Amino acid sequence: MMKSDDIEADQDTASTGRQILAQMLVYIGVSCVGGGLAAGVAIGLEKGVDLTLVLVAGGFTLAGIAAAAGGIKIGDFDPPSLKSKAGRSQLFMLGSIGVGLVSAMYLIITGAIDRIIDGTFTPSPGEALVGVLMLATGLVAGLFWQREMDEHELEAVKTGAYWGLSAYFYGYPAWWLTAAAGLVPGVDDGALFFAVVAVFLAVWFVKRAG
Amino acid sequence: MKNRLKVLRAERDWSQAELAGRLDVSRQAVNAIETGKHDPSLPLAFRIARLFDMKIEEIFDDEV
Repeated sequence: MMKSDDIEADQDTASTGRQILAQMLVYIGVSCVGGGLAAGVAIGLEKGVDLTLVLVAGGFTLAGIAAAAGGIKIGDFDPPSLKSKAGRSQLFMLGSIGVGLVSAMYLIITGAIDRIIDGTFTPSPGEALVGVLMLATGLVAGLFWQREMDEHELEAVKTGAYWGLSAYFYGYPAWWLTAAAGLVPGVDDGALFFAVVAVFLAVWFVKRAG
Repeated sequence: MKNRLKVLRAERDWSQAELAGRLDVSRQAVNAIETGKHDPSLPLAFRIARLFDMKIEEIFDDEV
């Protein structure tokens, strides 16, 4: 049995920095897997498969798998399970990552991502409906997820939401003002959206790392 | 807020994951409480006190 003085040496406390690193490795790894596979398929369909493509796309995918596996190993994450709140919350997170991965791969393989970046993307009615349905499903799933969060996770989400809203509340008028004065290009709604999401995710990552 | 959670957990030879399971919170939540980065809500503080069969003020100290 450990005494009070021995507690500092306790090995099962993952430091906040390690948790943040682990989360980043998992998400970057998953992105690399999705990006590597999707880019490989997209380029293969367009130009044919050759050794270079297999090596580059395969290497990217393997590096992603290694990064994700490393993140899971050092992160000491709660195991996904239906039996506990934390486990159900992890299941929701994994489901979200899966949906995001498949969606991103679809966007890359169809070349839609390039058109989104160019500002020339016009989805078909079917694609738009599927997209809206996925967003609606995400909204409903998020309501259930909120019920499964423990108070620490909820606090992280609330803090992230506060700073995300602040980024928009102060960022939009600042950008609009400086654009009106000709100092910067006009407000880009897409860039602002991603900036708000990035602020939310960054604060949420740090807060939930414990 | 300072607390004795880490000591109490270690005295019972529980891991953070084990304590988290008993409290139905995430391991990160236990870590955040132990390191003083998260102050538990009153309901969770009562659950912790009941689990260790102690009073809340014997575990948490708001005067430090």
